[in-house]
Formats: sequence, C-alpha cells, structure tokens
Amino acid sequence: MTIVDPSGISAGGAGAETMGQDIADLGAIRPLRADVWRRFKRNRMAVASMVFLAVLAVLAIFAPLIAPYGITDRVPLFREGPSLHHLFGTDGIGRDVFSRVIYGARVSLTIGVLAASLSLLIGLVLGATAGFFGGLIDTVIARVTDIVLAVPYIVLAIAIASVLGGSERAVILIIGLTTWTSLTRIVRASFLSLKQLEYVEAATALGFSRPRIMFRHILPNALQPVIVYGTISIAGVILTEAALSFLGVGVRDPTPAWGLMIAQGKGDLANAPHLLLFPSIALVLTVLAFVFIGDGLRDALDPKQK
Amino acid sequence: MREPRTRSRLVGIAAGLFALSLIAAACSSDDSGNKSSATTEKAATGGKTGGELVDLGTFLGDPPEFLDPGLNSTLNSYQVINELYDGLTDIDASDPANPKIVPLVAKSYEANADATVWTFKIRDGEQFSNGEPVLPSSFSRAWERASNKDFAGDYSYLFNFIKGGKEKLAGTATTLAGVKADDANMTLTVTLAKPYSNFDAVAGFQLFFPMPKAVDSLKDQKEWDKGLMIGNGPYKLAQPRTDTDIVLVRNDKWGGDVMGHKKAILDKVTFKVSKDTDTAYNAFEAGEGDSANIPPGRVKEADQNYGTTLDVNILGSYHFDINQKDPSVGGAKNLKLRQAIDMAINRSEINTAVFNGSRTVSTGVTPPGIPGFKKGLCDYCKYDPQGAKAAVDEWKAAGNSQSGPIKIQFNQGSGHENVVAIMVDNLKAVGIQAVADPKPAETYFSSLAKGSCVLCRAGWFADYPTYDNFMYDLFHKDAIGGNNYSQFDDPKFNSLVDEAKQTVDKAKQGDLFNQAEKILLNDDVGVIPLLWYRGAYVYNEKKFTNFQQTNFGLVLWDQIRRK
Amino acid sequence: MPSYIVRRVLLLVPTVFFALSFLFVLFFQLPGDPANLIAGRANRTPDPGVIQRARERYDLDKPVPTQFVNYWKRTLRWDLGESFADRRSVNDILGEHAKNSFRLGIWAILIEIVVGIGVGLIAALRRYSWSDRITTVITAGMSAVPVFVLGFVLQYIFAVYPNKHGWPDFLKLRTQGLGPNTWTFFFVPTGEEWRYVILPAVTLASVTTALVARMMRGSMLEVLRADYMRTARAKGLDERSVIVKHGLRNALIPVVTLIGIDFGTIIGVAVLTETTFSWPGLGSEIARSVTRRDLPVMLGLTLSVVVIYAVASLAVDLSYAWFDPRIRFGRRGDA
Repeated sequence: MTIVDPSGISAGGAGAETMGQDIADLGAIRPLRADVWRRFKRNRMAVASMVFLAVLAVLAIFAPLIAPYGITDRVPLFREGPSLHHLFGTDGIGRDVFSRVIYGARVSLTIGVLAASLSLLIGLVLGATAGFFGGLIDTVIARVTDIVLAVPYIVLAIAIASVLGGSERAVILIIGLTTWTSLTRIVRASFLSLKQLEYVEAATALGFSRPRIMFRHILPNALQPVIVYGTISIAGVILTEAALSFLGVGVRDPTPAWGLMIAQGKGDLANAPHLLLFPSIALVLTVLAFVFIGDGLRDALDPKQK
Repeated sequence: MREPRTRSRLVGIAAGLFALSLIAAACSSDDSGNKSSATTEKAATGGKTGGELVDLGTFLGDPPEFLDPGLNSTLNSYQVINELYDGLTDIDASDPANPKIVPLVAKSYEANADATVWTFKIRDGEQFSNGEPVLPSSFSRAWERASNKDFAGDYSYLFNFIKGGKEKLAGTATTLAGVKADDANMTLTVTLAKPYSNFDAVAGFQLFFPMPKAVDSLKDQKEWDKGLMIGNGPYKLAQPRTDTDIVLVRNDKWGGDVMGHKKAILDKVTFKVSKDTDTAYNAFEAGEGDSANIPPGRVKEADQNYGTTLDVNILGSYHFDINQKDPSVGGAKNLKLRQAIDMAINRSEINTAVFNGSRTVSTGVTPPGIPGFKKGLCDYCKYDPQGAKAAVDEWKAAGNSQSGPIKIQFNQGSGHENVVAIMVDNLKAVGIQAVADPKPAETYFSSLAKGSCVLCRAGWFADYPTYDNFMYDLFHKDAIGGNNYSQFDDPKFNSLVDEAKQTVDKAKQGDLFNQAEKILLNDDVGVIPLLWYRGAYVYNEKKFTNFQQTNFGLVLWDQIRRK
Repeated sequence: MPSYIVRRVLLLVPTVFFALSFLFVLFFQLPGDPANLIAGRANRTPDPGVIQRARERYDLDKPVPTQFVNYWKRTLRWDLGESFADRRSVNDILGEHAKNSFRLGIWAILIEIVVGIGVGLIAALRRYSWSDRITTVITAGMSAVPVFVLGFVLQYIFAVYPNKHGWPDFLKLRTQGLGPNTWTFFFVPTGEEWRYVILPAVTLASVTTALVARMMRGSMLEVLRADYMRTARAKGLDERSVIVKHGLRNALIPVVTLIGIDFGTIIGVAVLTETTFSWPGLGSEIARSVTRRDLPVMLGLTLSVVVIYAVASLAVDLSYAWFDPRIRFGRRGDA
C-alpha cells in the first residue's frame, strides 16, 4: 500500500505473472539500441518531456547562478503577487517564490532520483535473489514483503520521520525504504520466467556459475521493466514527498521542496493563489514528464511494436 | 452580581433549522469582547431569541479528548465544558483593566486571615439539568472523584493546593482531608495545604466543577464522558458526543451568570470537528458553519468580510525562554548580550509578517487582563537596533565573544519556523550570530525540562487568571525541572513571589508581582517576551451578533443571538 | 480452490502477527516517553505525579516483553484495549471509523471502476482519435496533481465560490464532515448526505481512476492486437462479441489487480482525502495515533486495515479464475 503510485505497476498476484510472460517474450527478441532510440523519438510527448527535464536539471544544477535571491533572503513585502522584481511573487515572510521554486527543482529532483534509486536497488536485490534461488529464500522474501506491505504506509513514514527528523536525507530514506515492494515482485516474476529459457539452460549445462548466469544473462533482460518502472516511480516519489509534507513529516522549512511549499500554500487559494499555483505547476509538469518518458520507454522497448 | 433565580418557566422558542439570513443594518460589534455592561440582556441590540449555531473553529485537528471537567486539560474542550457546568467562582471582566473574581454558584465566600481556610456559602435553589439540587456535597463529590488516583487527569496536581490532596493522589489517603461539605448549612469549607490568597481564582477552574449523584453509580468513571453528562451550566448535551459532533441544547434549569443573564439565548449549538484549519475556513466561507478559526494569512480578509474576535486580548504569552545556566547566553557576564537580543528583535515585523497583525507586541510576560497587570514593565523590549549594537559592543569589550551561533530551539510543525527565521535575521543585523534549531514536537517540552534550552520557544496560556500562574509556574525556582525552562533562580524574585502569593490585599499583591517581574525582565533578562495572544474567531455577522470572547479564550456561546 | 482459500487465510495469521509485533517493537524505539506524551498534552511539562499515574494505568512501567505478552493475550480476546489519549475503547473507535472509511471507499471504488474502465475502454477503441488524445492528457494530468490540492480546488469551485456569490442552496456541495450520516443499505446516501460524500469520493478516486483508465487503455490495445482476437474475427464473429467475449476479459486482468490494490489503499490509507475533507476515517485516525504515540489505537486499527486488505487481495485473486480460464489454483503455489 503506497500513498501514490502513478505508474500503475503495483504488486499483485497474477498481474505480475502476466507481466512476466511478456518479459519472457523479450528473452527471445531484444530490440537494438538504435531501434529503441528511433521509436522513442517518434513519441512527441516523451521527447518534449526529456527536453523539459533537461532544462529542469540545468536549473537545478545552476540554481545559485540563475535564482535572483537566496532561499532565505527576505524583503519587507509580504504575500505580494507576481511583479517585475519577483516573478512569482513573495511568500508570507517576504521570500522570493521564483528563487525558491528554482531551488526546489534541486530538492525535488534529488529526492526523486535518490529515493527511487534506493527503492530500485533494494527491489532488484531482493527480487533477483527471490526469483533466481527460489525455494525457501523466495518464500522468506515473499513473507517479508507481505509484512512490509501490510503495515500502513503512514505508520512507517511517521515512525521513521520521528526517529530521523525532517531532513532531505530522512525523506529519501523514508520513501526508499518503503516503496520497494512492487519492484521486488516485478523483478522476481521476470527472473522466474527467464530462468526457464533455453539459453539459460544452455549456460548452466556449460557449467557457468550461478551468480554469473544471474548477472550476465538474466539481469540485462530483466532490466527492461525495471527501467520503465524506475523512471515512472520517480514521479511517484515526488508526489509522495508532497503528501508527506502535507502530513507534516516531510522536509522542513526553509528547505524549498515543492511539496512543502504547496502544503503551506494550500489555504491561500483564495487570497494569495500565487503561493499555491507556481509550485503546483512545477510539480505537476515534472511528474508528467517522468510519466511520459516512462511510457515512451515502455513503448520503445516493446518488441511487439513495429 | 448575580440575582436570585426566579421560578418562571421559559417559553422555549423552537427555531428549528437555520435562520434565513436577513440583511440587517450593520451591527456594530461590541469592542474588546469583554463583558461590558452594554451587553447585558437589557441593553442588547435587538435580535431574536432561539436559533442554532454551527461552529467549525473550536475543534481543529482532533476531536475533544475529554469533556469531563475532571480530566480535561485543553482549552478547546473547555469551551464546551464551560457551557455545561458552572463553578464556585467566575471572572467579572466588565472593566477589562480590573478583572475581578466573583462568586458564581457560591453566593459568597471568604478567607481567613492568613488565607489558609476558605469558606464558600453555596447559593440556594441551584439545580443540575435533571432537577437535582446543587449542594456543597456536589462539590466534594466531584473533588473526591477527580483526585482519585486511578482516575486523576492532567490537572490533578492542583489538588496539592488542598490539605490532604497530595496524600489522596498518592493513594495513602482515601479522602481529601481539607474539604468539609455541610449540606444543612449550605457551606463548603476548604483548608489549604499552604497559605494561598488566590485560591478563589483556582476554585473556579474546571477541575473543581460540581458533579451530580449520578457519578456515584458509575462502574467506571470514564464512562461519564461518553454519555449524557449532567451539569449545571447554561447548556446541556443533546446527545452523547461523537467523533464529529458535539451538540448542546439549552438547559432550562440554569441559574444564570454574574452579569445578570438568566438563560442561554440560542436553542442549540453544534461543535463540529475539523481536521485542518484551512478546510474549516473553507467550509465556513462555503456557508457550512457560522463560526471558525482564522488561519494565519487570512486575517486581513477575515477582518474585512466578517465579524471577528481579533480585538480581544487573550491571557496568553508567546515568549522565548533564555537559559540562565547556559554558558553562551546565561549568567551575569552575558547580561548585556541578553539585553541586546531583547532590543534587536523586531516584534512588530514578526507580528505583521507571521501573524498578519493578529497579536499584540509584548511589553512584559504577564498579559493584560491579569489582575495586577501593568503595561511597559520591560525596559528592553522596544525595537532598538542601535541600542542592541551598543550593548553587543559593551559585551565584547568586557572580553566576551561568541564561540558559535546561538541555537534558537522550537518545536517543529507548529508554524514557529517563520518567527525564528525573522529572529535570526534581526540578530544578524546587530552582529549576533544565531541559527534555528528545530526539535521534534513530541520530545520538545520534556527535553527543555531537562535543561536543554538555550534560547527556546515557550508560551503559556493562563490556567486561571492570576499573576502567580505566570510568575510562579514559569519562573520560580520550584518550577525548575517543570515549566521553568530558563532555569531562572533569583532569590529576590523568589521571595517577592512567595510573599505576593500570600498577600491578601490585591493592590499590594499586584505591586509585589510587578516588582518581581521587573527583576525578571530587566535586572536578569530571564525571558525574551515577544507577543501576547488575541482572539482568532471569525463569525458570520450577517446572521449573528453578540459573539464575544473572554480573555480566557472562552466564547460566550450562551449569549450569542441571531439577527 | 477451497484449499487455496484456506491456505490464503491461514497465511494471514503469521503476517498479522509479525506485522503487529514489528509495530509494537517499533513503537518503543520511537523517541519520547509515551507516558510523558499521554500526560503532557496540554503542551507543557506535566507534573511528575500525573506522569507516574499515566504510566501505571497503561502498564507502561512494566518491561516491554511483559507488555507484549499482555497485549497479545488481550487482543486474542478481541479486546483491542483503550486509547492512551482519551481512554475510549479501541473497538468502538474502530467500529465508527471503519464504517466511515467503507462508505467513502465504496463510492470511490465505484467511480474508479465505472469511469476508469469506461474511459479506458473507449479510448482504446477510438485510438488516435481526438477523444483519445484528450483523455490521455486529462488522465495523465489527474494522476499528477497532488490529492490535497485537487481537494482544495474542488472545495473552492463547488462550495466556497457558490456561497460567496449567492448561488441557491441546491447547487452547492459540502466540503467537510460526515453530514447527517443518513444511509440506506449501509452505503447509499439519503437526504442531504450525498452532498457531503461526493467531493471526497471524487478526490479520493481521482488518481486511481486516471491510472485505471490508462491501464485499461493499454491493456485493451494489447488484447485487440493479440492473435486470438484475429482468430475470433476470422471465425466470423461480429466485432462486438469479439471484444466483449474474448477481449474484455483478458484486458481486465491487470486492471482488476490494480483495483484490488487500490481497495486496500483507499480504505486504509486515505489520509490525505480524509484530512482535507474532515472525513473521520481509518487513515487519518491511524496517522494521528502514531504522532500521539497512542499504541492501542495504532495497533488496533492497523490490524483491521491488514485484514481488510488481505480479504480484498484474496477476492481479486479469486476473480482471476473467472477472467482467465487458463489460470487455475492449486498448481501455482505462490501468493
């Protein structure tokens, strides 16, 4: 149970198996890299999203050079709307919203990528181990996954937050440590199917060691859904950060995370909408960008399409 | 003063559902919200009796924990409890500069010469909502109940005031030795453990409200809270409370209040629980409720469009304690530094930016409305960056320097971040390095009590309207390890406060407390006062008038009337 | 099949045991003394006598293993204990909140199913048409907007704005609370109740509906291209029965999976929506219990959420047998 999961690829019984069957097809024919890129380019939304993310990354990296103010610099103008000096207006204690949104790109992208990576890493390791070795190890991992899934997400999030405090690092850990369950199932399913493929049998017959088979033969093929899911899961992470901030267990002031700015500005819809509007737009566009890229990757990597 | 109740029956005016809003002439809402004589029933500005009100602003975030006066410790539940029960005494704030404690259910009371024995004469003819008479034993019953070890709640320590209270709470005694109820003579005699001249204010506190016989037959006292509690206030419960609603209807057997009002005007008051201040305000604006709490940031707009209680001074102080034992800010050698901190902070900017002007800049710790209050006790609380810089220079010239930035602690998640951000800026401008040091809310106060405060956010709402509730409970040496996060221990201050607590002459008492506070604020700078609270209710003034809030924070729900 | 069900139910027991035990232990690792928090809720340092009495009342002065054993002994009797915060019976709290969560959740899921599947199906059948493109954009957008922002915007549009501009009452929706709490057949709102349910239900359903629509579209598109569809068409069946009899069922499998998962999420963790609309459900109550260190409430409500989720999950898995005749239980042994 996660708070948000815009990927649509979540844990489930037969669902993962179905995906596994699709993945098994993959084992036979893998599209060439050049083909993948060509197919990807045809998807206009995906390409536009890549451009957007590239711009965002530039903003994030060069934020100190681009943003006109620092994130804690204050001017004696409180809750002013957009103006020449302050493109997105000022907030309750006089900070420039435009600068904070730009720095926010840094925060949100960092949290997004790092938390998704942590989640991915855990999911890969556990899923691969479960799928490849099977048997008792598989059962144990499956049970542990069930238990983590059973505990309501909020409880884990608040509990970890109260131990670690409210920093970026804490949020990354919270999200990373609690959202690996879906990926584990996907990876496991694909390992299960791929294990049976002929060339794996051949490799085993040839005497290659098991880890070698796992890493060099199965893993690359299993990566396709992982890449797709991983990309889309960044979107989920960014939304989860917003949700955690709303509940009061996300990052803290003055860190300009978009989610936190939205949560703080939610009551101002009527009288100071710029406080809510600009971070929201930034967040929605970024989330969409990741989703479209993920979709584009899925279509591009799908062997059944021409 | 309170008049004897007449036996006339009140004709209930069934108003049923929400009154249609009539566009009446703009009703000039009474200023200051205190019980001024202009708002007694005789002079009320027209309007109808009956009707209903839905409130969205009292319970924000959590449903009330306890409605039982023996257990409650929160101000918002107190709003309801205050309408369900009446106590021995009450506050008369018809002259806001001179609030007085007056008898309520007690007809009169007096203390002996050294304020150790208090005799309350209970009024005749008072009844609970079920017709049962209110007797001295109603009080002793309630007090025995609330001091029972297995039941006692967060405020039960107040029984330590009473002789035998400590033993009862510890379980070594079965009754309160100092309480004697004489029903035949309608007299309640209370013997205190130590002399305390403000006991009359404490006696009106919710912990000491009376209870009917019905509580004796309960198997488990905490069941009382969940059912239809019987009380002697202007309203009674219409139904047991739920997680979302608390519904009050008029109690026809009420005895009236100190201002001469004899009955609650509205038929029904419904308190709804909201989980979020902004949602509640939205719902208020959408017409789903008649009153709400004003979220910070919407103060100006609320003030312009609706009626508010923004001009009511609430007996609460928002201040920062400063640890006298901390090497970086405490002690005699850092006195100039503390004065500089005091002068450097732009309280007005904080008030405008963070609170939208909805609070009052402090000139001391004890807020206006407390008997004995005097304005301007603090010499260093005016914004004076030049003076602050000069003080810093003096401090440095004496050989002092900062080994690191001063840590300003506060509990996370309650909106203090912005206040501290401004403070850090203000201090930087006069050459003092400071840094925000947020702490998790759950362990904040307990860690402060252990001495971890450097410059830490504190605040205090009066439990009962006495000067010692601020001076003693917050800064006396007895409170170290408790609420005295400043670890403040000045012998002169301590003795002045001790003396004042026993002084029966109110004028002299006020003077002694003023002297003590001056020592606290100026000679030692044991606290950095920032702001005093003001009311934050907003209400639909097109439908209702006479919406008043006392400076205790309590809304006089029973006196609101429809237009 | 019956053995499968039995096995799944039995599997629930260790899951519940370990999950709750894990939480129990986690609780005591959290910073802060629970007794202190119980007693000091007035935002001040509580009197030591008060803390001590609180500690004794809730067994917090006993060693953790003893508390652990006592907790399980009590829970097995279905006595979920008493809330630390307001001493109410957790069984009562659970009952009230579970009902509210169910009512809201059922409507959210209905919206999710009807609108999600419907939109996805239509988009798939009309691929590349403008309606497809529009729905793609809208569904993508809906899944990207944070739930509480959507809630606030809807509140403003449907309740605050109409009230400020004097619209008649029958056009306005309600933004908070349970309303009159009048229902028939347990979940059908009567009277004015629907005004209170509709905005939270739509908000709660928004993200999941968008996802279901997208997944349905994708899944249906795949199915439409599949070999067995070509076979069916070649056999001469009309397009419509081809779609319904052969395509739809297969397309629905991953979608049903998604809905099954959402069921658990919607009922158990709908914190954001519940907070935004002040709907007293399980999610917000659980969140509150962790913050306030209210152990009995936290454990009791989690228990029910786990069970509900497991039941929903089981129902979803069992429904696969209907959707895909190839799937049989008994040979595949995993959960």
